[in-house]
Amino acid sequence: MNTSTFNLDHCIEKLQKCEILPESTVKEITDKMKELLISESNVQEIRSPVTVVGDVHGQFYDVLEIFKIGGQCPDTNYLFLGDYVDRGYHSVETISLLTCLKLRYPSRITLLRGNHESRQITQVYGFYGECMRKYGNPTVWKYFTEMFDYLSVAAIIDEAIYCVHGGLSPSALSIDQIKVLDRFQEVPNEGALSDILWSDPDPDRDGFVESQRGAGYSYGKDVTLRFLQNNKMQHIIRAHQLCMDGYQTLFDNKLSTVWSAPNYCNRCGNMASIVEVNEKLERYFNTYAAAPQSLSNKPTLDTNKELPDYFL
Amino acid sequence: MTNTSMPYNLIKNGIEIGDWVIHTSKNPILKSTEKDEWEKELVLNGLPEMVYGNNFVRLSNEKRDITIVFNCMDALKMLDKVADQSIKVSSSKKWEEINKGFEGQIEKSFEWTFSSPYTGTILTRGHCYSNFEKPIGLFENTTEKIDIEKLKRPDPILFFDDVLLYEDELADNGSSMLSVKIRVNNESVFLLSRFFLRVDDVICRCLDTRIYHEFGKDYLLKEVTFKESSFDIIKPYSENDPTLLTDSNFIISKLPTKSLTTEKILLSYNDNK
Repeated sequence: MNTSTFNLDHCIEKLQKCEILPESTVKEITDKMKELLISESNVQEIRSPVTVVGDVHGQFYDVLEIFKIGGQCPDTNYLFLGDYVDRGYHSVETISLLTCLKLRYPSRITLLRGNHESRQITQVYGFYGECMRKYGNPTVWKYFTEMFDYLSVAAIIDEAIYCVHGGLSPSALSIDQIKVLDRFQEVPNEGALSDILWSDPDPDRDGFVESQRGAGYSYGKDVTLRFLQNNKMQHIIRAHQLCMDGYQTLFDNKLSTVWSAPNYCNRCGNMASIVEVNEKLERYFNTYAAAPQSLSNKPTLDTNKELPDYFL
Repeated sequence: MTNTSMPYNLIKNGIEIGDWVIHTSKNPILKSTEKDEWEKELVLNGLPEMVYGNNFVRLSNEKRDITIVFNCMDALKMLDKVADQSIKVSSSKKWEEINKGFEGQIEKSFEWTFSSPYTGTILTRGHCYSNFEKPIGLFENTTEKIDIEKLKRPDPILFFDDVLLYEDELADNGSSMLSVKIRVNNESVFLLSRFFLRVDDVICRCLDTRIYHEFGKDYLLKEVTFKESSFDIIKPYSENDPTLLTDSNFIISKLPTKSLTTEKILLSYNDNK
C-alpha cells in the first residue's frame, strides 16, 4: 500500500481524535480497501497470538479503549468479528478508523463481516442516518456499504479456532463449502452466507432449530461438536449476541461468544470483553466497562433529552 | 378544589409531594444467571434480550393505602406463553420456500414480540392488582379526559425520569420495548407507560397507559390507548427517509387508534374499610 495519494498516518491521527474524514478521502480508502479485500479468501487463515473483538456498534470511544487495554495496532494482532456500525453514535468514525488501520497494517488486522455490514440493515439501525447527518448526503454510506460486500466472512486461527460473526449454517457444514461461496454481494436473506452472519447457538436443543420468528436458525451442541470434528477444529469464537458479562462459553467450552460493546446503547450497563488467544491457543477474556468518554460524549442531537421533557 | 402549590421535597431518585412519594429505580440489565431464574419462575421459553429486572416507577400514597407501580416482572407475567402465529418476520415467506426440505425442529415457542397487555400494578390493602382484576370501589368509569392543555404548559418540572423495563431487537427484525416516563410539577403527576413494537415490513403496535393526578383531587385518571397497523401505513414515509423507522414517536403518530378507555382510580377506596 505504498502508492497512496493520501497519508494514512495522518488519517488515523485525525480519526483517533474522533474527527471524520472528507468525503473524497472516504472514497479513496474504501476503493483501496476493496482492492485489498478482493484478494482475501472467504475464510482467512491467521496466526496466534491474536486478540479477537466482537460487536462494537459505533461505540468509538470504547474501540479506543480496546486498543488501550489490548495493545495498539500493530503491536497487537487483531481479528474483528463484524458489527462495526449501527446503534452507537460514532459508526462513521469507527468504520473509518478500522478501515485505515487495515490499510496501514494489512497483515496485523483482520476485519470480518457482521450482519450489520449490509445496506438493508444499516438503513434501519443508524449508520445511514448518521452518514446523512455528518455528510449531508448518502454518498459515504454508499462507499462503505459497497466496501462491506468485500469483507471476508470467517477466519481460522492456527488451523484450530474457527471465528465467525454468527455461527453455523445447515447448508454449509464444511469449511471448504464456505470457502467457495460467492461473498461479493449484499447479505442475502437466506442461505449459507446469511446463516453464518445471523445464526445463534441454542443451549437447549440439538440440531439446527428454526426460529420462532419465521426466519433464521439456531444451532445446538451436537451439530457444533460435529462441525468441529469434521473440520478438525478445536473451538468456535463468535459474536452477535449481547452478554451481560461481556462473554459466554457454551457446549462444554467448545464455543465462546464475545461481546465488545460495553453499556450497549448507552443504557444496558453490561460489561464487554475481547478474547486474547496466545500461541498455545489458550483464550483469555479481557473484560472492561464503558470508557468515561463514551458516557460523556453524547452528540448534541441527544442532549435534547437532558432538557425538560414535556412528553404527552 | 383549588390546586395551590404543594410543598415538596426532592429525595434520591424521586420526590415527596403532598401525600405522595414518587420514585424510580434504574439499574443494569439482568445477568444471564438471573435471566435463567426469571425464565423458570415465569415459565417462559424466552425473555427479551435486555431485561431491566430491577427497574421500576412507583407512586405511593401511604395515607390512602394506594401504590401504583410499573415494573418488569409484572409486565412479563402477562405475556402469552406461546408465539402469536399470525406474526412472522418479513423474510419468512421466502425462508419457508427455501427451507421446505428442512426436517429439523422449531425453537421452543415463546411470545417473541413480547407484546404485554400490562398497564401497571396497584397495591392496596395488602393485595396486588394488575390489569384485569378490578375490585369494586377502586375503579370508576368516567368521561373525563386527561387535561392535555394543562400538560402542554411549560410549568417547571420538579422531577422527571425515563425508565426502561425491557427491550428486544427481535434479532434485528425490528424492536420491542416497554418504557415508562414520569414527570411531576407543582400541581400534578403524569406518567406514560409505553409498549412499542415494530416488526420491520410487517406490523407496528403501541400500548400506551397514561396516569394523571392533580394533587388534592380524590382520584387519578388512567387512560389506555391501543394502536396498531400493518407496515403499509409507514412504508411511504420510510421510503423517503429510512431514518424515520427508528423514530417511534413519528410512527405512533401515524398509527390508527384501535381502542381507548379512561377510568378513575379512586383514592377513597380505603376510606371506610
